[in-house]
Amino acid sequence: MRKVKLNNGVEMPMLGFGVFQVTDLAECERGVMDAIETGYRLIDTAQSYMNEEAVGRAIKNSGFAREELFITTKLWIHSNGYEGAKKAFESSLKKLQLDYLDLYLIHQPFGDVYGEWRAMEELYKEGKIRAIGVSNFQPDRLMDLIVNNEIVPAIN
Amino acid sequence: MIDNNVQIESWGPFAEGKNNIFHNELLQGIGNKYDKSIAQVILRWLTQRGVVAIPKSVRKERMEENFNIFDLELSAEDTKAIKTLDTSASLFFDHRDPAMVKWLGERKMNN
Repeated sequence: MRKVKLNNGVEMPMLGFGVFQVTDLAECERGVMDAIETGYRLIDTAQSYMNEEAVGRAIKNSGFAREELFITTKLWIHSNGYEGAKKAFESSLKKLQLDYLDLYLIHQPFGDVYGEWRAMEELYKEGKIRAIGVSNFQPDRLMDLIVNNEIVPAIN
Repeated sequence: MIDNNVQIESWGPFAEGKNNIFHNELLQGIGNKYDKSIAQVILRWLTQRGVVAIPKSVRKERMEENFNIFDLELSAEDTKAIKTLDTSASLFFDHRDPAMVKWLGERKMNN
């Protein structure tokens, strides 16, 4: 699989398997198993997709070593960004049955994204996430986040 | 994004089938040249430009189809033609529409 190098040096597969709108958990689990068998190594889910448990079961049952897979999940909108992000991260990690994430994204450019970003920067520095980024950010929102924080998002 | 080395990712590479994209004549024409499907042309167009893509399918044959794209190399002429399909507008929703921001913000998740 071809890879791209993110701005922190972490390598990410160019092509992945996403499970947006796969709400049936059995179908999701089977889908992720099939995808890994097909050759996909990047699996993309989100807190709001409500299927992280199914993805976690498929990863566990795939038999692949953790470092061979690249797992992304996303944080939903929080009013209490910092605390909310820390809690949501632990919850996602538990559902996915993982001890670290490859990529964690702020799902939408709304709510307390600054608090969320600070929490994510800490988790990144603690080694619990290999890369942090955002999703659905318009260029002006992205620039605002970049110039007012320490870590530049790896992805949008 | 390029200035700050922020990697672009496409979460809806097929625009959820909007604008009848799976029957687009231009993309079909390009696909026919290389014996590839419209989906494969789209995914290769994105990845050839350095965009990470995460297509969804629950059907194994589609997963395989979406995966087998790296033997395809689109020509400059192809990519130029595909560029003419850009409408400069999102096919999903407007992240600056207050009603949408309110609706999304009210969808709280339990941790």
